[in-house]
Amino acid sequence: MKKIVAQHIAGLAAVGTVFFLLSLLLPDPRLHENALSMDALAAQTHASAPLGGMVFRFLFVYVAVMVLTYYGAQTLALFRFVRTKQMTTELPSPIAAAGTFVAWTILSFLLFAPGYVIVYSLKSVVDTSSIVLMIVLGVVSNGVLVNYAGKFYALLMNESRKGYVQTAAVKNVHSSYCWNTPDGIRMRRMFRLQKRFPGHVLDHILHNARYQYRSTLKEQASFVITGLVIIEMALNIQGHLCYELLQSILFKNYDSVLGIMFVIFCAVKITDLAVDLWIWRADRHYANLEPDEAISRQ
Amino acid sequence: MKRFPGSDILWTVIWISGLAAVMAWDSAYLNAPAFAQVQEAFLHSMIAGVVTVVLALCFGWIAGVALYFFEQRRSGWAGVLRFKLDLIRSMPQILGLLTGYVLLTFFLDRGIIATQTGQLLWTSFVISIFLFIEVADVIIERIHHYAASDFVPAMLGCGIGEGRIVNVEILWRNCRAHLLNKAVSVFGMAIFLQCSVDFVVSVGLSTDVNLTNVPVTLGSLLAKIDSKQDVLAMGIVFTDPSYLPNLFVRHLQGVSTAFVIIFTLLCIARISEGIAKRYRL
Repeated sequence: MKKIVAQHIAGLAAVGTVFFLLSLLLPDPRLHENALSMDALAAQTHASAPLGGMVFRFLFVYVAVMVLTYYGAQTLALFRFVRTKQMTTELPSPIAAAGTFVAWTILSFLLFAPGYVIVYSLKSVVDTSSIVLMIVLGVVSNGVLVNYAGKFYALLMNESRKGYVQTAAVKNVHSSYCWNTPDGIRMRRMFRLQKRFPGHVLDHILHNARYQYRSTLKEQASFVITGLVIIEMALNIQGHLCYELLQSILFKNYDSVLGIMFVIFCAVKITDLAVDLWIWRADRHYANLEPDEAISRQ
Repeated sequence: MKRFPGSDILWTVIWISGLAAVMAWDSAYLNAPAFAQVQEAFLHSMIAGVVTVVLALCFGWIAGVALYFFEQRRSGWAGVLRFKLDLIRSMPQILGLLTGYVLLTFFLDRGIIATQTGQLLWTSFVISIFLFIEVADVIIERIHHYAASDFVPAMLGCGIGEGRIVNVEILWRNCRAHLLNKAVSVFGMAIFLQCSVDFVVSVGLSTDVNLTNVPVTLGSLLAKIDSKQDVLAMGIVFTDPSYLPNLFVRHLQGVSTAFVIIFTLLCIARISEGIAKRYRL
């Protein structure tokens, strides 16, 4: 564990040092011949006053989007997985299959739409400065949800092809994927935060797929934050952290630029550290290195 | 059940047909200068995407193979390279791209990059820096997968060089499907990032440099005021559904640009999914 923490701290220190050196090397905007005007400078100073609030708001949105995307990707993938399994036993009619294809394609248009397209199309209808809108856009736009649901679905499919699934079925573990039957899947369990299907093979498939998905969370963190930065910049509303970042770049306020970039980098790095520690803990659990904990879980 | 045996081919056909339909519609209803801009923007975006893929594959291949050999030889460079790769992985792509664009404005200001081709190449290079990690990951994973196979020690015993085994026998002969799949997903990611950054930096990244001389892409075309108004008009449909037909005639520049971006991203993702299904990746 110490090695994992040390690696991440070294990464943070390396980037922090680079940013610090850059802040020393880059010129002060007030000394630059094309420096921002006094009015703009005053506006910048005024805007940078509640920087802590902007950072807190951004991080809150980031954490909320990460949690919702994790939940949403699992739920969507699980639902698709169960539907796929159901269709292996009962073929849908061509009309139903075509209808599903068209409906899913139309929904995909919304899910793949970049955040800035949705933001601009909704700008005249809703309050774009709302924090709820930011969270919703962060989850549903830029293809975040649909991409990571796809990755989780692929893991579920790979797990379902493994030998232990067939062995479990032979040993009379429930393996029917029909909705709400005694040996099937209870639909409401699909939407719970803690998805458990006791006595069903899906419980094991899901558990193993979730274990493999954890490493994807690091990639997801980087992508989610990219999406949020794009949305905030596209919203173009004063008081958003990334709007200030863009303005600071424009007016060569490099200290502010480096500071904001470092905060965003730290958010991703801390997520990476948390994920690595989570994986490390799960690895120890699977390797039976924590017998007391393993027994207590059973 | 396999509903679409070759869904990658199906989606490629859908993508090309959809783009052809949009271009045909635009040629009929969009004014000539705007239509020329849409075509130019599409072409520039596609070229930048392809260049990004080529660069990302080259960088990823070099990084992956180098890391494998460093680890084999227990060289200290392995730790350094892995540390650098992890650092790039932790850096959100958008921050790297913004830095790249700030540098672009600096180069434009100094006249270091003067041509549009040079500007496109620079943006592709910057994007590829933040995407090659995915290619490197695939390459490392595949090499480790095949390195455990019997044919590797057998070939080594026959006196075939390790470099040839890794580069030709493992990566070229056995991993092309994985690399093709990764190349398609990198292409989609490149289009998304390029359009997004071009859109958000439309306000400018420097008070000294005017970004209007930078080659137009789908993102920068969407950021133009005409296109923004067209996209804003899409919101009117929520309150007045009868306005919908106007979108396809009066607001064509913005609507068709937004459609091309979303449709391309959707089709690329489906093509990648289809390739993964076809080769059971």
